[in-house]
Amino acid sequence: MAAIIPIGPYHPALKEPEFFKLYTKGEEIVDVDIRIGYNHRGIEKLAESMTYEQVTFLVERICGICSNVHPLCFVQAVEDIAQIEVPDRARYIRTIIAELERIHSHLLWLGVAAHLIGFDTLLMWSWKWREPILDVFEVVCGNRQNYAMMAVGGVRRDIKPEHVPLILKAVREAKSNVKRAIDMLMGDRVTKARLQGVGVLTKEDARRYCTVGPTARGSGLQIDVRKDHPYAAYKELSFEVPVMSEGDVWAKTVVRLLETIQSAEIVEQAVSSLPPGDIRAEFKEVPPGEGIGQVEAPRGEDIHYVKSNGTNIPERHKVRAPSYVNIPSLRPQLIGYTIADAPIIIGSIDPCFSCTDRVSIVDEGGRERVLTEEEFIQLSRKHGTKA
Amino acid sequence: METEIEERKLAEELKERLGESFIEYELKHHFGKKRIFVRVKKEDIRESAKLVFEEYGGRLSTISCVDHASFFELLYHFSIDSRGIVVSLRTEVPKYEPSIDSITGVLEGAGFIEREIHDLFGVEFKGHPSPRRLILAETWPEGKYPLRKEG
Repeated sequence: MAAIIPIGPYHPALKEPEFFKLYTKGEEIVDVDIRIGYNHRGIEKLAESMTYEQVTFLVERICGICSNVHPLCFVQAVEDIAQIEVPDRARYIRTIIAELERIHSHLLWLGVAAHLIGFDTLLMWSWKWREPILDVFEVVCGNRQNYAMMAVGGVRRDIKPEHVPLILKAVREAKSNVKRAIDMLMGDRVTKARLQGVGVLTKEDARRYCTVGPTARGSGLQIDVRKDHPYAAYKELSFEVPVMSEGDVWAKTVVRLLETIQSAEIVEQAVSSLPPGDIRAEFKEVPPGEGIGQVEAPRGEDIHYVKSNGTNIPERHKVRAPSYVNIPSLRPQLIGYTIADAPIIIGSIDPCFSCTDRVSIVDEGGRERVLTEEEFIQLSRKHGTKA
Repeated sequence: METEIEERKLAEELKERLGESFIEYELKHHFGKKRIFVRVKKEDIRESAKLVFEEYGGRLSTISCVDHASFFELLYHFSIDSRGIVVSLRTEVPKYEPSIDSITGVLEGAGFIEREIHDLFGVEFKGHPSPRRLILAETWPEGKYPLRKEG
């Protein structure tokens, strides 16, 4: 019989609430059950009571790391319905913000991943390298996170000429720092031993689970929304999409690092060729209809479906973030590996958890049941009065 | 436009391949973004999804469910990345009997979203390998579906 090792919903190795139930034989993981929903906030329902203008700000609150992804995706879906042509300058600014975000997100991930394998020096370095990018956001948008740059028809703020040298300096520094990280990792036997051949996701499984982003690209799938379904200014800019075929944690790491360099190059190109003109197209109303928005988030494809009934409030708004499809693919990635590898394997998809309160207990007889919220509160109160 | 020809070609091909399952299609082209909405028969959803996934390389992005008072509309959004086209298969299930075949057996990537739609709208996916709750808490009352318009 397999022993159950619960990881989460609240666990030191996880930065957000999510529940992984590992079925183990000795050190080996033989099966996994994944539960989500611990952080479900009912954003889709809320969106059905807000105007298009307000929803743009609401969806910015879905994620605290890639906060630009959801508004960008939402406004594209609305532009899809209303047939709005976005001005060139706005398309470029959208690209610059999106790529700066990818750089800071990947550097954040690198730090977390390094921490998960005990490489805390790299954590300190990579989070230090991430700071200048956040400083740029503060200067350009007024905020380090939740930039509030996106709007239906364009962007809300312009990038001023005096911002350009700041942006260029920050991305060039980031680029050289990432190259340094690659050199460091390539020559480090210990890191390689922890990452290579661990948590392998085969190309077949990557496709069967419909994975996206660096998780898919680390398993040899050549997919990237920026190339396949171009939006913003990606069609006009030249960049490469790094793909690795090994499918292990190492492959996903290398894909992300090479991607960060590409992002820096995209920003350099976009900033240097920023076209003049308006930053927002005018539009009167959103006619009845439906639209789809797709964005390549740092974690993969984000997709929004919006249905309009001709009023200023969306009738239906569906959000699907990239981790939603990447998390189920952790099952084949975890099975066959050891408990000690579980944190870095889970970390390798750069999970962004969207998840309520439950606790699972296993009594001495091996029977297992899940406590309800009320039972949990009762239990806490009972023990609270004892103490 | 040249690109529209590409979408029409794929739509016509799907029409032929889907045969009896096919009802109608609609093309949308928005500044370079290509979308095809294909209405299919409810009974044939599993076969239709299988065709788009296996033969056309469609990657299931997600399924969106829309409450239309007397029925639910389900849209299966597939991204055909190699051709840059999004194909959305749409079908309807009546509210008095909200049930449809699960496609999870064909496509593992639909596992979570089918459970989510069951939680939030109460649509039953017949043949789902693990039809448990996904995002609602255990304490949430049975038969109450938060994303339904009346709920």
